[in-house]
Amino acid sequence: MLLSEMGAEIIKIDSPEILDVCRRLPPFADGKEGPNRCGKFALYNRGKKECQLDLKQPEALEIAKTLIKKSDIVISNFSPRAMIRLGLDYPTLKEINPTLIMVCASGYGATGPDRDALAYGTVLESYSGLSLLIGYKGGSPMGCDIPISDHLSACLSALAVIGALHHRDITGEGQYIDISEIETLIACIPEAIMEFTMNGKLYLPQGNRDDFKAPHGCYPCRGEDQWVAIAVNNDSEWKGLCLVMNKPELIENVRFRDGFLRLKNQDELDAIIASWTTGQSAMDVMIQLQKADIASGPVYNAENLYKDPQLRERGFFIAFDHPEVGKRELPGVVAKFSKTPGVIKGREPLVGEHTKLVLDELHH
Amino acid sequence: MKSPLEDVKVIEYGNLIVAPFCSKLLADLGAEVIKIEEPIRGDIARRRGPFLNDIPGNNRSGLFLYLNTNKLGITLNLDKATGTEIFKKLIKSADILIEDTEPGKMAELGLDYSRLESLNPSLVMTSITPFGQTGPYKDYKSCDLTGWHMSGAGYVTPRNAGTVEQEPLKVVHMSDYITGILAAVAALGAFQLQRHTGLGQAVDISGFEAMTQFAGWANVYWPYAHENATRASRSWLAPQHYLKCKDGWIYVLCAEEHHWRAFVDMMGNPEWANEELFKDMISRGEYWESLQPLIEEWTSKYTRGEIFELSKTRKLPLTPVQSVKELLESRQLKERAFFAEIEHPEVGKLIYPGAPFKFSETPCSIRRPAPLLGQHNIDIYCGKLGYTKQELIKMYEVGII
Repeated sequence: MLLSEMGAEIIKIDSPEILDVCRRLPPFADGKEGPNRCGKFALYNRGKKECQLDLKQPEALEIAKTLIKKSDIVISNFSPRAMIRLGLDYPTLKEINPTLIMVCASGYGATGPDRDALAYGTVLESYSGLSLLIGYKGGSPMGCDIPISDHLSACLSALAVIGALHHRDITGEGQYIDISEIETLIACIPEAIMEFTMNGKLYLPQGNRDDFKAPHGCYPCRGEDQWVAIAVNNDSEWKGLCLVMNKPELIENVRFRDGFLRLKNQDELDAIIASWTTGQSAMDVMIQLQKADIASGPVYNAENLYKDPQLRERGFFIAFDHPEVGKRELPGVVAKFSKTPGVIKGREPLVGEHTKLVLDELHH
Repeated sequence: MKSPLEDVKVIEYGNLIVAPFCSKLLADLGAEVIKIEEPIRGDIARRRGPFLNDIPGNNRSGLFLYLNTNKLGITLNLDKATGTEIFKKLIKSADILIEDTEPGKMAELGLDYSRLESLNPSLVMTSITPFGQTGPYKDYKSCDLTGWHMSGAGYVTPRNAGTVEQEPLKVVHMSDYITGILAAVAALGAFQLQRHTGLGQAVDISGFEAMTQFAGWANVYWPYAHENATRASRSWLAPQHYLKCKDGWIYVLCAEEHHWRAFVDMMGNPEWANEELFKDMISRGEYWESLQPLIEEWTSKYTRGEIFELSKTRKLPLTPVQSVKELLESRQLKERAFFAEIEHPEVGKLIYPGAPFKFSETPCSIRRPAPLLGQHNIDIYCGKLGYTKQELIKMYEVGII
């Protein structure tokens, strides 16, 4: 998807027997199931062409190889053994297309004793140490509903591919890139890793709290499941917070007047702030605190985001028209490029939508 | 060429995690990255823990040391006229600039894109801010906590909490890393275009947008189903849970019926598995409170490692819940040589996470430790820009470097 937004033509090869898992997961448009009605599939596959090939059939495999011969890049997240079994491993493909760049992202990586363990996105957060870093104080392991390692390895795969393209521009050389999802996750938790490698200590979860900033957390607001996140960085922001809360007497209070004291007395501090936020909307709290230059923001849900004035002003959401589910709005290109804005070529493909087109093009 | 970006020149002007991680990735890919730090104080991350042996110091922050490997370090004060002049000289020979100043700050300094473009038309100027260069929130403050929670990601964390009584959670400092990675992708994409067309440009990255896209997995519930994904749901399919075993927990995700069959087989086909109550994923989810103790009676007899090995041959999506300690002991990561031992002039040999990609022809590696403050001032200012050591001393004394 990321490469497509920057102009690449992407042909997605999918099996006619087992559809991409995102075509089988909710949310389905208006609650009705169907392989062309999936929000997650729409998000990750807009702008791509889809060609159905049953790669276990020799003819289909030949077609795939012909496609690969004409392509610059192959991206896969099948396990390494699956690619070998299909006859689409790098040594084989390199014979067909010597300058090919191939990136394979798998759960544990292409090598190592765990390489064949079955890996689904959220499972990997447990292996990588993340489940023991998320949680309320003193709690059991927890996870995030969003498959973080899938996302990280996707972005790092895109980065690695562009790097390889640059190398190929200069040397003519293609190559194979092996991305391990657990490694991409570990690369993003150095605080916990270094605490152990330097000091032999395990970093324990502490809810939304920070190592040295206080107050720092989520506070309840008016309405069902409404919260605002607030982080105070220094004494000057502390003063600002007290004034906004209309509690100037707290500024020099002996329990809160500097960062060290605020950290020590965080429980009491959080209770005071919660009693202030509780009657207000999260949006109002943010507006008041941002006027005082304090980092704060509502804990947004999806509906809030689609109505957020900043995202709307930036034109962040794009409407896609779809023959079966009608108009749906999705996030646009993340980066704003001043001269070459990036393009989303269109909605996601219907099942096998471009099979005929791709095959016809091959014959010319 | 030994690494993919060996001939690429990057200037970094940033603090903490977002911009430094963005340029660290480019440095890991082989680019020459010159990191500009404020004189005397340096990058704010130098004063963030964890610290080696719990003793703070400018070169003892594990976070700073990790985020700034492979970079050259110089000090420069852009609030001084000579500082901005030096910056312009550096920009003349740079391919990519990564910076995280507040919107308008670079213009104030006379270093906005149109000015830099006239000095170097092929420059890719990547500006990373919490909300972007434009819009009603452009001057708003943010950090990893607010970045995470404003994106929709907080609302669904922790997964399957079952209730909304407790507040939603952050995930370490993940939003900063996610923003940094996306900024690197955009910067490199624009650079690749520049190499083909000579066309440089300005790239505007908003952390809010980067994170909102990341949380798209949850956020698409609104346009598609007119509802919000929430952490309030309990796992309605089972087992997709943490399970206690002899030495901790495992996590299993039975996404399909055959996974459950494999699990039952792994447990030696106990009688209770045939009960009507547990016949499919939905009823197992409904009766999880009855099912969990039965499963845990088996799992608590075995270690995580034993169960993980048993699960592999059965193609069961299962994994041990590991702590950081176990990551360092992991045979998988050892065999892949993922962790790297790097020697630093002040703090000596330490172990770091390595580069998260393995290239077959141009292996990436950590070539040098994070710089000392101003470590490469002489190399860059004298060696590259032609200043004399005497001039450097004068600049130091008046606070320019």
